[in-house]
Amino acid sequence: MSRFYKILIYFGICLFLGFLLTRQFYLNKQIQEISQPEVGNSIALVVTEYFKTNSRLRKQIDQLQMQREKLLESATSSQESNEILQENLQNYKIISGSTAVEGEGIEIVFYDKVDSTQIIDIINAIKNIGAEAIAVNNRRLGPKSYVESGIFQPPTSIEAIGNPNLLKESLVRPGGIIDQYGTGTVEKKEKIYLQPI
Amino acid sequence: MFNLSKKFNKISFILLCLGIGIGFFLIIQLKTPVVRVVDPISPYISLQDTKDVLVEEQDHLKNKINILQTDITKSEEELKKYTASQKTVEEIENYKKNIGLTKRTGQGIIIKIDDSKKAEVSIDSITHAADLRDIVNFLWGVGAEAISINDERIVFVSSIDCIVNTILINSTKTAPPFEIKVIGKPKDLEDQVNNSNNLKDIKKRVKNQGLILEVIRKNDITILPYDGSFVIEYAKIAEANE
Repeated sequence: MSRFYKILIYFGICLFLGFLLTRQFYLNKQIQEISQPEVGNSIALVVTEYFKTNSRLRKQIDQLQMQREKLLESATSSQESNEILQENLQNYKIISGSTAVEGEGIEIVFYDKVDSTQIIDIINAIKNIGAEAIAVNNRRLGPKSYVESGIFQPPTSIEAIGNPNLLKESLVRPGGIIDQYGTGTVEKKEKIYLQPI
Repeated sequence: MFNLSKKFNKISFILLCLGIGIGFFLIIQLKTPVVRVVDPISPYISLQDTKDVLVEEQDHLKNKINILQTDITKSEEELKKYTASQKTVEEIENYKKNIGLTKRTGQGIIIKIDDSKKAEVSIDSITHAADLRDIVNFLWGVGAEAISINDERIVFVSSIDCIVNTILINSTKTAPPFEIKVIGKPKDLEDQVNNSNNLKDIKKRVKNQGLILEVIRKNDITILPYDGSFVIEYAKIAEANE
C-alpha cells in the first residue's frame, strides 16, 4: 500500500473519531439541558419569582387593609388611633434601622477573605429571601447603607433576622450562593439582636 | 525482513488502538438514550401564560397597595387633628420619606447603562444584575438620597436579581436600557460616577466592549414611591428599646 493511501486511511479514521467526539459532546449538552431546565429556559424560574412576590404583596395588602379598617373604626377615639399609629411607627422604625431589633434568623460567617462585591451579592440574596433586618460585622444596614469597597479580612459576619429555615436552606442548597462561593458557614439562630444604625 | 515485520507490528498496534477507540465511541453512541420530546410547545405556552397572569396580578396588587397607602395617609392626616396623634403622624411621615414610601422630586443625575451595540454578545458586553447592584451600592456611598431603576424604587428590601438572561428588580421583570434616577447633589454625583477610579470593572467594559454608560445632570427628577411589600413578621423592636 502506498504511503499516500495509508495517510488517507489514517485521516479518514481521525475524521470519523472527531465526528463521534463532537456528536457525543453535543448529545451530553442536550441531555444536560433537558435534565437542568434552568440552563436552557429561565421562564419557570421567573414564574416562581413572581409567585413568591405576589404572595408577599397579598400579605402586605392584608396588613394594610387591616390598618385602614382600624384607622377608620377608631376615628372617633384618639387613644385607639394612637395605638394603631404606634404599631405602624414601630414597623417603619424597624425598616429604617433606627431602633434595636431582635428575632429569629441566621448568622453567616466567612473565615476566608471575601471581596466587597461578594458581600453585596449575599446581602442582595438574603433580601430577596425576605430578611427583615441585617447587620454586617455588627454594623446595622439601613435603606441607604452601602458596603465599603475592598477586601474583608476574616472573620466576616452577616446577621439577618427573618425566617431561619428559609434563609439557611436557600443559601446553602446546592447551587446556592454559599455553594457557589465555596466558603462560609450559615447557622440558624433563635435570637439575634441588632443595634440601631 | 525483521525491520518490515516490526514496521507492520507497529501499524497493527496503532490500528488496534484506533479500532478500540472507535468501538468505545460507537458503544457510547448506541448506549446514549434517545431524547424523546413529548410536547415542547405546551409546557412553554403554559408557563408563558402563567407568567403573563402573574405579571398582570402583580400590577393589580401593586395598584391596590398604592390605593391602600393613600387611604391610610388620608386617615393619618385626619388624625393630626387630635393633639395626641399629631406628633406620631409627623414622625410617620418622616419615616415614610426615609424608607422610600413617598414620591421624591429634586436635583440629581440620570445614569443610562445599556448593552454594547458594537461588540458581539459576550459576558462583558451586556449589562448584568451585578453591575446594577454595584452602581446602587456605590451611589449610596457617594451621597444619593433616593434611587430608582426603570422606575422601580430602590429601598431597604429591594433586590436586583438575574435569572439566566432576565433581570428582576423588586421581583419585577425589567430589561435594558436601564435608566437609573438619582436624587442628590448633581455635581458631586456626576464627578464621582465619572471618576476613573470608581466602578472600574464597568468602565473597563465600556472601553473594551462598548458597554454604554452615560451620566447627565438634571434639575427636575421625579422618583416614584416603592409599591412593593414591607412584611415584618420576625423582627421585633428589642425590649430594652420599648
